[in-house]
Amino acid sequence: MSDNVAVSVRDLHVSIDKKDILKGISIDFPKNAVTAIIGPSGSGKTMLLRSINRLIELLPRARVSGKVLVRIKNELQDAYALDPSYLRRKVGYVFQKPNPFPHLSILKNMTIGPMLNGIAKGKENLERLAEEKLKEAGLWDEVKDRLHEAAWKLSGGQQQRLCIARALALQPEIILFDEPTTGLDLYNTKRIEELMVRLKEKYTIIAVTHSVDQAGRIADFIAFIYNGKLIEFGSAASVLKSPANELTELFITGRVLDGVTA
Amino acid sequence: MSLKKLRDALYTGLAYLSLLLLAVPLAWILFECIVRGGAYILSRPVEFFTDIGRPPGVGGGGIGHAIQGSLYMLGLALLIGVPVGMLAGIYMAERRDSPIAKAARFVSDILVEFPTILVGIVTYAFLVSKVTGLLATGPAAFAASFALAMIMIPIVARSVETAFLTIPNEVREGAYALGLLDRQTVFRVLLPAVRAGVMTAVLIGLAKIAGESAPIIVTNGISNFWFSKWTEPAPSIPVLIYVYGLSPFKEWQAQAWAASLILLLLIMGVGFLARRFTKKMWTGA
Repeated sequence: MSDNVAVSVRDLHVSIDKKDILKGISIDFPKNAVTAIIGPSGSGKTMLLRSINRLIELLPRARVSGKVLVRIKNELQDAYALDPSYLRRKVGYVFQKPNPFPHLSILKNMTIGPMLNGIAKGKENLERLAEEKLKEAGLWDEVKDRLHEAAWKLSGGQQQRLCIARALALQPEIILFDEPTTGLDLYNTKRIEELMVRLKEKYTIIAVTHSVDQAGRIADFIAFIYNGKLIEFGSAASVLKSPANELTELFITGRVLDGVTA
Repeated sequence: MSLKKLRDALYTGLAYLSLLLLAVPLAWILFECIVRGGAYILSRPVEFFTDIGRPPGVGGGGIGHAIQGSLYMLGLALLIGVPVGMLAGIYMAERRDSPIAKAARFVSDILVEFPTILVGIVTYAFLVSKVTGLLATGPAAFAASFALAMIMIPIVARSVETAFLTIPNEVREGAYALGLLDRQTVFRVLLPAVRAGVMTAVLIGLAKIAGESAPIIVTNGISNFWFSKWTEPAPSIPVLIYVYGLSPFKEWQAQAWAASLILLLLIMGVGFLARRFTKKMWTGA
């Protein structure tokens, strides 16, 4: 398989309570690029994302079959054969709603992951790592004087950047974003979009979004998912400008998809 | 006055009346305890808390032995009840759909309503009865602690469960997404988030067992001596109130009222503390 592939999904089926959510998805996500997964609500975008780092296993009734390979230390490895804790460290996840640990300080939010996972030891090393990653996420200047304040005091946009920094602190290779700008204002949305684009130099970014415009702004590649199936996948320019599939065209031009079966 | 205003006044009046009906018994009991027991405490402010009981006719004496016995019994009960109740509550919240959690919830709900004297009898039969007891030594303080723990466990478990359920699921998912294991998620992230709620759970459990007398009498019997061994009967405040209160001796009766006052203030204090913690059950925004 090509060295350029960061995540390879093969014939992925997911069902919850015997309801099929993903119906055989195969896709290769390129390395060091932003791939946007677009599609209407309920099409299975988030479940695809959660299948990659096995967060889906938190849903006790979810059944997953197929194969997911992730590139860790430059080697494609079977995600479902890895230790889930290790997998999730290497494949970070940023949620739709900012979810810092609200009772912990900003600093503690940054250090608890590396500390419990043994990535850095000692107060000094942990704090140095926190600073480095807060800078990488573009939050350091705003929080450097209030590191010991509770995380819930930050604004929504700051909380989301803290969550990104928290994921970065675990030294991941791939970061999954699940509609990370939902509910944020334009300024914060723009900052996070810029951050995602910047991060692709070091990491592979896979982002779910329901906004075609956002996909156009950030993505190098676009995957269009509809009704649990991959309808189209290609470079952002080609998918947006000359979609090969009629369904894709309907979706990106904002026309209704209800009732159309893939 | 319009009909609407009249009806409004009527309902407001009824609300105040029910509040009054609720407050009167408490105020009355407190008043009685202060009037009938307060004088005894004031007459021997130190002795009452540090001295052992005296036979009738001798005069003086205190409830020091009962305070000591209660501290021992409640201490051991907390030592057993808090960890077990906490772990059960955490399990019920974090594995809420598993068959074990459902069974535990069902059993807790029954045990919460279980007559405490039956818990005492069962404990007696299993642990210390001369005929069927596994540790057949006769009435013993440790058996009372065990019975009190059994009474406390379902209360703590259900309250801890409720506290954990107030944690938004995103926080949980956030922890797992950082690669944290189950136990790290529970003990390093979730538990600190609801420590006030867990504290409340423990205090509610404590308040419930602090005033119990029936399970103690059944498992531990009655003692008027200082606490000596876990395998022998020990004194306690509720049982002292029962024994002294039903005695025909004036000075014992006065001490029973005084002890009631102490117990009441203790439980009310625990209740106030619990309320304070409840206010900040979930520290998140």
